Amino acid sequence: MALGAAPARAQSAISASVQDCGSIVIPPGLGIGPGADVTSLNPLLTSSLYNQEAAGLIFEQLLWINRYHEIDYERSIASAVTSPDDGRTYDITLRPWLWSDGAPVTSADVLYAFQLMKAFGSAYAAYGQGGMPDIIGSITAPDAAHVQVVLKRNVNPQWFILNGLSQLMPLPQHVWAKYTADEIWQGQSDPDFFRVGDGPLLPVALNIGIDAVFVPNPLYGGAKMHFSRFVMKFENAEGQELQAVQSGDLDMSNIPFDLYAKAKQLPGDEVVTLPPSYSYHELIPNMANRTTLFFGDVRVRQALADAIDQQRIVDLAMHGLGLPVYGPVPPYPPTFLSPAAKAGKFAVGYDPARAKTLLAAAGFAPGPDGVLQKNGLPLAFTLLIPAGQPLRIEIAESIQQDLQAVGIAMKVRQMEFNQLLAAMVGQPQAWQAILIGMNLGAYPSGEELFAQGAALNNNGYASAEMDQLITMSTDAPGLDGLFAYQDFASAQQPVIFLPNERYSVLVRKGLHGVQDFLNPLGAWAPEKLYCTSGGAP
Amino acid sequence: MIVLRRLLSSAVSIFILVTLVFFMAHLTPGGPAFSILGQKATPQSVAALNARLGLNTPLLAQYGIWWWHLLQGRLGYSYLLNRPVGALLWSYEVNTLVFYAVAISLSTVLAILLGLAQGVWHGRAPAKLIGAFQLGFYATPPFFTAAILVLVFAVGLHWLPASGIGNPRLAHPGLGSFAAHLVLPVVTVMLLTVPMLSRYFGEAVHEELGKDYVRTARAKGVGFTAILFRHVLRNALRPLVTMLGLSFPYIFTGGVIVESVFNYPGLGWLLWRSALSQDYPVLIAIVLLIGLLTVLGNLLADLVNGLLDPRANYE
Repeated sequence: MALGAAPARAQSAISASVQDCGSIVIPPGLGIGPGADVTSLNPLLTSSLYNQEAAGLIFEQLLWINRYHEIDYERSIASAVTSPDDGRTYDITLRPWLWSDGAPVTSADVLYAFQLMKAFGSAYAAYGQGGMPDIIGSITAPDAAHVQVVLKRNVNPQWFILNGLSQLMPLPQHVWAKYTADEIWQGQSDPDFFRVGDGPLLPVALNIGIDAVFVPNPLYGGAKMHFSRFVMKFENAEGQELQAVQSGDLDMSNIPFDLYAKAKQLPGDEVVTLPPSYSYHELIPNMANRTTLFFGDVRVRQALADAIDQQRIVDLAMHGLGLPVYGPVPPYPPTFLSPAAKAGKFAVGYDPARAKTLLAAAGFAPGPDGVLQKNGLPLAFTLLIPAGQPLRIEIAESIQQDLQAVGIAMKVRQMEFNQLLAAMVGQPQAWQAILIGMNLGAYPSGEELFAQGAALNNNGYASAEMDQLITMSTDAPGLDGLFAYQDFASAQQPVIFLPNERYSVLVRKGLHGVQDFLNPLGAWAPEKLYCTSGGAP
Repeated sequence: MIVLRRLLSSAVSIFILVTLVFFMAHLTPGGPAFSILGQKATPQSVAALNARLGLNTPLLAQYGIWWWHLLQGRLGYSYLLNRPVGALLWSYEVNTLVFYAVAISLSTVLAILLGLAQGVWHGRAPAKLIGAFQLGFYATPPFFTAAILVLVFAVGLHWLPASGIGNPRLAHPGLGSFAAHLVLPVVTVMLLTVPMLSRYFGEAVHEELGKDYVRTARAKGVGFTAILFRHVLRNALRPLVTMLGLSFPYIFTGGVIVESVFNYPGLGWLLWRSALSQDYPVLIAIVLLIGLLTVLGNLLADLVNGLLDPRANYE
């Protein structure tokens, strides 16, 4: 049985007026958010999305997951993945592929990558996602073109393929084997270390703080590039990126939401609005903090969700470029939405009257200052948000206004992101609520998010039923488990789900293919970019 | 002897400065592991990374190790940028050195010309006009000046690049591209420093022009231009040299704001970034550098002032 294959998609016809683009210069983080610079090229050590974008250009994915969350075999090194026993064993067939030095890509390279994952342990950037690498009982190479993976237990193949198996990729054993894990760690920012790759591009320079420069890999087995140089130029802020497109320094940039209307009026350049990101914002209520134990009452969390007008956040903070989110599965693409979610039926939704009723049922009554209280303790908390992020500030202010209307007092405090993370991860008494964004894997299960003891469950949420449904979603074949989990999470609101945004990109005139180039799941397809002399083809 | 005493007291100051920064940086909440691991940090991954970075040992031990490494000429390894700090500092230092050397040199020349004009025409319309320029630009924050310059000359007129250090479209951008990228940052710095330097210098010129030796020289028939450039200029330069001495560290460490606005990869940018991401080895090395350069700058200014005016006694 071939698993998760994407239907063949006809390549869009490109007109004869296509020209070589010369150099393409773009910032990291397109379609994701304000850019940051690239500091590592090693795909196993790249915890930031920006580093992943760069590493994804050098190393081809074994399984390329497209924006519809399907395997695109045209872009994958694997030509087939089968599971003869439906969930425990996975046979991967590799198609003929070459490293940039002419050596063949073989199953030994895949095994080597797995060994490195194990060697790095928790330093491996995606450690734990999709059970990797610990879920694998054995990985063998029957021959140079085949890899067999046997798991320690039976799981839902769709979950494992999208979240676990897709992490496997060939790494150049014949070049790297002479290095220790420490040496590989030390070399992660050195482009010379990555001279041999199998992806579309190869790095020629990584100028820290300035740019990362790539050239097409002459032995790349996929489609041809339409440029001779590809530069990821680092800018400090979104506004700078936009100016750089206007001044001709960049070919594309994210458009900050507040500048969207203005950007559409700019002469010459084109505004491309991307599909919504596979993510959501979340207000994380801390149920482990002694001062906010009221968050442990599901009625309070539901009341918060009911009190917040998400459409207003989308309209005002995101200037219409977003979608309300009420559960753990973002609405686009609808691949994994439960029938109830597809029909727009959620346990929560903007309804201030219902929020007040829920709070009254939970025992809260108005105090002398108008703030609800119970046993003399006010329903009040401080929301921490990452410093210097205008969108998050606007979202927080909108929430503050909505909560005040139902009698909940919320203060907003900005904090440097690493300090905020430090508080969230290890100091439950140091924070009451946090507003951040959450990017999801290709299969939106919650084993890392809401299960008891899960890596990212930092707010003390615990529910045996949730654990059971999450296990069902990851272990039982089919989507029923995932549907049950997401409907339950929507009703439980272990975090208060908030809208996801939809980025727009300003593109210089004559450059095309941006929609296909950017994949919401992170990996770029640079071969999709092309130029024409006379504007749109 | 005086120089030796100054150097010894400065060494104590630098030691205290570095010690304070070391402990303040390490005791600030957060930590580099969270900057590196990001949102998916877990207690286990943070602990593993801290062990790899040597941050799991007692703070006093880390402090001792840092000094031990420094005595061996090692500044450490950047946690975030995965490069030896010495090499990293040098690559950024070169950028900053060129940038500020150009900016300060041009500023000094322009400040001398404006200051001379202001001193000579004291109380008259041209001096008042220069005074208005000085006040206006000195009061304008550099990020605002920078933004206006970018909007006009990069976005509006397309005459100059908005940010960066060289044309990224070219494999070898060359000197012309580098120079073009320097124009707006340099002008931004000049619009801040020229008013400041010229105001001090103008006042000094005005004071010198009122002194007895000028009147005596004129009475002896020495031409005004000769008096101005042979005598007044030399004497009025002293406060300017002191100011330049104080700005010496900036030549090397750069301006955090200007380098950030123009995305110019200099030491100021690196300082800002390392402070935010708590990249301790880089942060402490830059602070050490600033301390050393401040001492050196002051010392140089005193020595030059001594040459300009042998009566100067700094004991």
